[in-house]
Amino acid sequence: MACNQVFEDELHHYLNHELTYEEEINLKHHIMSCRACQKHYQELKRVDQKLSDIKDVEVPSDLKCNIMAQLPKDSRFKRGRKIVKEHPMISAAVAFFIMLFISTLMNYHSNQQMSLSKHEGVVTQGDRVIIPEGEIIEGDFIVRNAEVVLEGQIRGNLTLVNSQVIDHTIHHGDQFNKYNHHVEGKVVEIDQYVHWIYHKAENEIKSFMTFVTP
Amino acid sequence: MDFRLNQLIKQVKKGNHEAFGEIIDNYQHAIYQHCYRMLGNHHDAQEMTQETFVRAYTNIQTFKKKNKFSPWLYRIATNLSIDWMRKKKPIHILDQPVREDQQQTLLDQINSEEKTPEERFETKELNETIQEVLLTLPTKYRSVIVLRYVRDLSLQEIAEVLDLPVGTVKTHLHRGREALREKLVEVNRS
Repeated sequence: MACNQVFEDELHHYLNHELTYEEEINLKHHIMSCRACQKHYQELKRVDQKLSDIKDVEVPSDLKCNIMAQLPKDSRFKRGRKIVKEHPMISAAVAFFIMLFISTLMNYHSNQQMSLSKHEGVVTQGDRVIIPEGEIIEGDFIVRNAEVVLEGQIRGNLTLVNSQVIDHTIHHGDQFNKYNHHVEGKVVEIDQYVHWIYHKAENEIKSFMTFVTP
Repeated sequence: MDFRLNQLIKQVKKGNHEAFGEIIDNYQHAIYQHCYRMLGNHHDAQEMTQETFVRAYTNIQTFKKKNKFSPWLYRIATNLSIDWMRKKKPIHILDQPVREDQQQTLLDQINSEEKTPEERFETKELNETIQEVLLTLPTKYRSVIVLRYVRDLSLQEIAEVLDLPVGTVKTHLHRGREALREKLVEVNRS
C-alpha cells in the first residue's frame, strides 16, 4: 500500500496522464525514497500494462447474419403509424374520405329495398311501380330498385336508381323518344354505384350551396 | 464518416435493413470486444452483441441526431451485459467465502483442486489471467476499466456512455485498478 491516500490518488492520476510536469517530478522523487509507494506503483503499473496488453479477440463470422435474421420486419401497423406521424394533414384528409365512403356505402346498402317518391295516384305491385294512364305527377319523381310502368305523365324530372322503365305501349322511334310522351323534364338513369355517388354528391353540393347562399 | 453515419441512421429509421447492415459492419468489432471483456466468454459475448444490435435497430427512433452514435451503442451493450450477468450470477456465487471464518472462496478452491501453480503458470497466458481477475470486479468498475483499456475511450467518452459525471468515472477507474492490483498480488502469491 502507498504510504498515504494522497500518494495513492497521485499514482492513479499519473496513470491517467493527468499530472503536470512538476507534479510528476515530485511524485517520482517520492517514489524513489518511499518503499511502500514504490511497491504500490510497480503493482499498479503492472495492472495498467496488463490491461493495455489485452488483445482483441476474433469476431465470429456469423455474427452479422444472425443479427440481420433477428431484425424485425417493419410491420404494416408500424409503417402506417410512421406515415401518419410524418404527414398529419394528408392522413386526416384520407381518413375523412374513407369515412365519407363508408357512410355512403352503408347508405347505399340500406336502400336496397324499393322506394319511390310519394304520390297518391301511383300504384305499386311487388317490384313494379305503375303510373296509370291519365295520372299527372307535378314535380320530380324518384324510383329506387323497381320496374316502372310509365303510362301517365310526369311534369318534372324522372330519376331511376337501379330501376328501369318497362314500356307496354309501342313507340316508333329511338330510345330517347320513348319517354318524351310521358316525362317533361329530364330522365336520369343511375345503375352503377359510382354514378349513384356522383348523383348524390351533386345533390349534396347543390343543397349545400343553397344553404350557404341565402 | 459522420456524414455517412447520419445518412445511414436516417435510412434505418425508415426501416432500411441494408443501411443497418453497414452500421453492423462498422461497429460489430468494437461491441464484440466490449461484450467479450465484460462477460468473459464467446458464447455470451455473441449473444449480447447480437442483442445489442437488435435493440439498437428497434429503438433507433429514440436515437436523437444531437447524440453521438457510438456511446449510445456502448451504453446499450453495457446495460444488456450487466443485466445478463445479474441473471446468470455465476461469478458472484463463486466469489462468496465458503465459510465465514475462511478467507478462501469457492473460486480459490476450484483453482487449487484443478491445477498446481506451476501448471497454471504454464497453461494460462497473461491475457487470460487478467481476464479472469477482471470478471471478479463489480460490474460498475468493470465497465469503466473495459471501456478505458480495451476500447481506448477517454474519461469524457466513458462518462457519456455510462451517463455518469466524469468524477465518478475516475473514482470507479481508480477503485477498479486498486481491486485488480490486490487480486493480481494474491494470484502471484499463491
